[in-house]
Amino acid sequence: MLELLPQALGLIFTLEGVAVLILGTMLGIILGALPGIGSTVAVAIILPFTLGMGQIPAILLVLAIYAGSVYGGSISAILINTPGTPQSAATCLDGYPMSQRGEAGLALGWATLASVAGGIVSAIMLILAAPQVAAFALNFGPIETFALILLGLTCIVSVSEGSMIKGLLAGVIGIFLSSVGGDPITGEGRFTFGLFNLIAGLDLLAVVIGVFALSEVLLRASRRIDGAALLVAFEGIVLPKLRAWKGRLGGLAKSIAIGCGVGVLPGTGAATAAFISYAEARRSSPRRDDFGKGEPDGIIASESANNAVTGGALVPTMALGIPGDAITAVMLATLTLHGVTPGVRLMTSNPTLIAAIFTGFALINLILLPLGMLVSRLAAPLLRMREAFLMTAIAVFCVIGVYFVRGNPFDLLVMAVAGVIGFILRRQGYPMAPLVIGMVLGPTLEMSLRQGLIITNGSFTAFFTGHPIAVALMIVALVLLSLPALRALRQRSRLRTE
Amino acid sequence: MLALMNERALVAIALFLTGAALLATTFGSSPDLPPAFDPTFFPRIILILWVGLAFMEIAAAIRHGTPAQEPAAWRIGALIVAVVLYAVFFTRLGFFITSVAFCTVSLLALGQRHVATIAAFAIGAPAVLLILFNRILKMPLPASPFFWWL
Repeated sequence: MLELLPQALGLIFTLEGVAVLILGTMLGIILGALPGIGSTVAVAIILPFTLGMGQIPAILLVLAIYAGSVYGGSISAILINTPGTPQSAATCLDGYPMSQRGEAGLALGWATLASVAGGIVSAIMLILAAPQVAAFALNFGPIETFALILLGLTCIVSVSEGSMIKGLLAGVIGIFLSSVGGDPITGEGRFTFGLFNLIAGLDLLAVVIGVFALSEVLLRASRRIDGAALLVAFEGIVLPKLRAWKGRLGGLAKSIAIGCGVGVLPGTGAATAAFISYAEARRSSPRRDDFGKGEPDGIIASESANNAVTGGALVPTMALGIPGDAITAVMLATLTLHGVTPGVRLMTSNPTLIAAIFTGFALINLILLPLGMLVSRLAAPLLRMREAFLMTAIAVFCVIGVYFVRGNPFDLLVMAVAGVIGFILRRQGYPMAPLVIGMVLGPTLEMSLRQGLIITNGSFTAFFTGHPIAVALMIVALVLLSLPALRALRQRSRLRTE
Repeated sequence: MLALMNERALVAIALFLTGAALLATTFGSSPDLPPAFDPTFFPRIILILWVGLAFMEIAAAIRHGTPAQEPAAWRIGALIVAVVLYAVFFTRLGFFITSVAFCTVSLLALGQRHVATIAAFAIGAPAVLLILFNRILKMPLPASPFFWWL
């Protein structure tokens, strides 16, 4: 692919191409930063505008919006504790506490550098190894995918702040919500109670926006506070000093690897990667006790992984025609609209186009740093708004965002109900991250389990024979699940000896 | 027994009953199919976990009940009603009218009392968004059945 680089750069560096890269990335960051809009809506909003453009600029614009909005999601997550999309939910856990400490600029600095690093490495990985990685992803059958999702679900244990039961319960509710609607194999309606709108299931974005953003508005309204009391101080991004990276580079590399790896696997997505990476960082970081209280390692883990997914998710999208997540599904539509038929043959039949797309993607991630610093400063006036106005604006954006996803009025109702239920649960200390993780991973977990049972003629034991990748993943999941208990036991015995 | 009831326990009981009711619907509706083809196979496992965890949470809530928090009932009630009505009437009455009404109620519920500021924001913000989405982004927001230009 490297030999095609000059041709690829020639296709990108036109006036239209450069304008699209810069303006698209800026617009992506702004749209991603707006609570309730998020990457999927951002890409969907821009889709009609690409129809009048050439093939390369159109695809570059969508890529710029994609990468920019994934990064932009961290801005709202860190500054107002409201992730626009599930993938930035993990960033809230440590980003917002840092903001509350008056370190919003530094938190965004960590997020920006981690995002840029994740994006660039994943783009380089794509350019160098896309065909081989795509071939390896083909080895994952339903049983391996089931084992991978089980591994992903272990992160619920890590994000269950305060009460493990509440966290697990929220996760289980999330998985259940994902099963509402048509059965993926037989098509029979489940838990629809005669409501036609429920046949298509609950829209993930509507639920996510409800339980995170709307419930946040209600929670803040329930606290008797003055207008701007909870707004954080922010004067622009502050990049962390070089010495602050000491002891964190290993974690960064691990998170990027997780992001790239998860992104390549079809049907997993950035939210999964962000939470797996966060859970892993929380388990392995020497500063794990500070997680959830504003620890930069948590931001690095989440942001580097979810941005690394952007590159990884392009592999199955481009090479196999299988979207890595909801956003790449919208991108798949863009490619098809512009005469590019993604699939196994694309890499061999049109390598220059592939090289241009991947190179453009790497360039977008490079310009993310200066543009991120510039655009986040423009977001500062948003924070100086009195809380009543900001919360009202968030609620309006939530409604607009959910409306634009499918144009379905029922989704708005789902969002409102999810917001109210989220508010009630959050008041009692139920974490919402496990609910979202359950909803994201639920469909793949069910589908892979049932497909696996079909393959093995209904035998669970066959899951463990002849599937070494699956066995390895399940062992890792088991080990990771038992680690908190082992750690607690060790701590208890240490206390006893003291 | 009533003394043991706290907000945490009530929420846990509500979750338990919801889970149990949903679990009950998975029995007896479909013929005896192998797990892979039974639509209720996977949700049933999940709902059993749901009911079990909710039961454990009830026990924990009764043991370590937390005192009820100040609910700020009227404020929350008004906002919840406003959100639900906004969602319901958004596509029926159009973006502008519903947004002006929602912004007004929301700002009042969130403690704003300056009439001119409320009016400016409640009319100005939806107007700006209307122009942005309808004119610039060419992504039409739901229009009012009464006024075609809104």
